[in-house]
This record gives sequence, structure tokens and C-alpha cells, in this order.
Amino acid sequence: MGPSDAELCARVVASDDRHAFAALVRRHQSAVRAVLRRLCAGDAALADDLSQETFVRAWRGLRGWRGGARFSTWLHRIAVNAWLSQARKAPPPAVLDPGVQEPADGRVEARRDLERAFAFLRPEERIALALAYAQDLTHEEAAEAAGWPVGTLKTHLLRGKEKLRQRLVPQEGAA
Amino acid sequence: MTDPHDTIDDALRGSPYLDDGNFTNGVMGALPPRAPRRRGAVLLVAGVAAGLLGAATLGEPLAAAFVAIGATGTAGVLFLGTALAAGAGALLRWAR
Repeated sequence: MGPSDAELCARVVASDDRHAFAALVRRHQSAVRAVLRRLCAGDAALADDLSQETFVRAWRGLRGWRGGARFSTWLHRIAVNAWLSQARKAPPPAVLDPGVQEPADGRVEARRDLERAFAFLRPEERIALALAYAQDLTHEEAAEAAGWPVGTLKTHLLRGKEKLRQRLVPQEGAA
Repeated sequence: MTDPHDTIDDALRGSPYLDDGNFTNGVMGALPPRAPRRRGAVLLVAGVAAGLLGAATLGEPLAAAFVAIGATGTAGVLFLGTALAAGAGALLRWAR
């Protein structure tokens, strides 16, 4: 097990240590990219652009991170803000054109269907679902990353799951 | 809060690990360039200023030496003190 997030952050702040920051990116890239893929309703290219922007913003703001929240919680909050900024500038289409995609097995196709179904959710429902099921966040941390009380997160979570169920379960039954 | 047989819940939990690929390299390439180290520039300016002050107060023979040594930067701090002292002395003499 390598140095903690806090130790790596301290090295970045103290000496502009880019190797330490690269270690942080490698450690958290999957979780951040997965959350943004859901927020972007399966648009992997846009999600990766916003993920990159998230880490660049984190680099710029690292001196302001006081360690009150876990680094991953803080990072997810930046990711949500990056997505919200982008969504305000260019609202996504209601239904994404899937474009040309490589053939996939059933599980991968089911994951893509799920991500695309996020397009039918309201922004706060997307945020609640993406954060509450993020790889390493508790519900409390998800609420903190969203900037809401836990009760608000759970309300949006239930509504969002119900919408997904209405949209996806009949498809599963028909398959 | 969750139904153990909830297929939507299972699907949401099944977020796969995403391989880094070239992602980390892309982020590192997008970071702003390193800020120039300002300490050296500050020392250089302080050294040159000390040299000029020394030149103004101690006369031409020492002026070149002050500017030259002051401009090396790291010696500038040492000479800044000397020059300031010399400047203060000159001002006192002039005031009398």
C-alpha cells in the first residue's frame, strides 16, 4: 500500500511534485470517469474530457483543500461541478445518438443501456444516482459531494431509481 | 433501503473498473507549466539593487564589484545588507 491521499497532496502542495499528483490521478481516475459517464448518459468521450478537467481543477485548487473531507469526496464534488457547468453551456439532447460502437457482450450492453437511460433523468436525479453508487463513496460522502443533506440525496435517489426501473425493466422482460 | 432482488440496484452497483489507458498521461499533459522559481529572480534583483546602491554611496572603484557580485544572486542577500549599511552611513554623513 502506497502513501495516503493526504501524503500525496502534501507533496504536491509543498514541492509541486507531479509524480505524486500522477499517483493520485491513477488511483482515482476510474471512479471519477465512471461517475461522469453516468452523468453524461454514456457519452464516454465527453465524460473523459470532463474527467480531465476535473483533475486539472483539482491540481489548481489543491492548496485550498484543507482535508476536511476525504480527497475522493472533494474530487467528486469538482466532477459534479464540471458536469453542471458543461450542462448549462450545452444542454445534452434528450436521447443520445449511440453512434458506431464496438459489439459488446450482454453485460457491457446492459451497462450501456443503463448509462443511456440516465438521459431521461433530471440533473439532480443523475447526480444522486451517480454519486450514491460511486465506487468508493458512502451515502454521507455522496451527499457532501452533491452539496445536499443526506435526506435530499435519498429522495432524488428513489425518484431516479423508479424512473430507471420504468424505462429498463420492460426491456429486460422483452429480451 | 434497497431490495435485495432489485435488478436496477444490481446494475447500478456493477460499475466496472476503467483501465487507465493513456488517461493519466493526458491529465499530466494538460496541467499548467511549472511556475518559474521566483526565489532566484528576487535574489538577482536584490543583488543588482544592492550593487547600484553600493555604487552610488561608495564610489566608482567598488561599484563594479558590487554590481558583479550582487548579480550572482545568491551573494546578493549578503551584499544587500552591506550596501544598505553603507547607504545608511552615507545618508547620515550627508545629513550632518
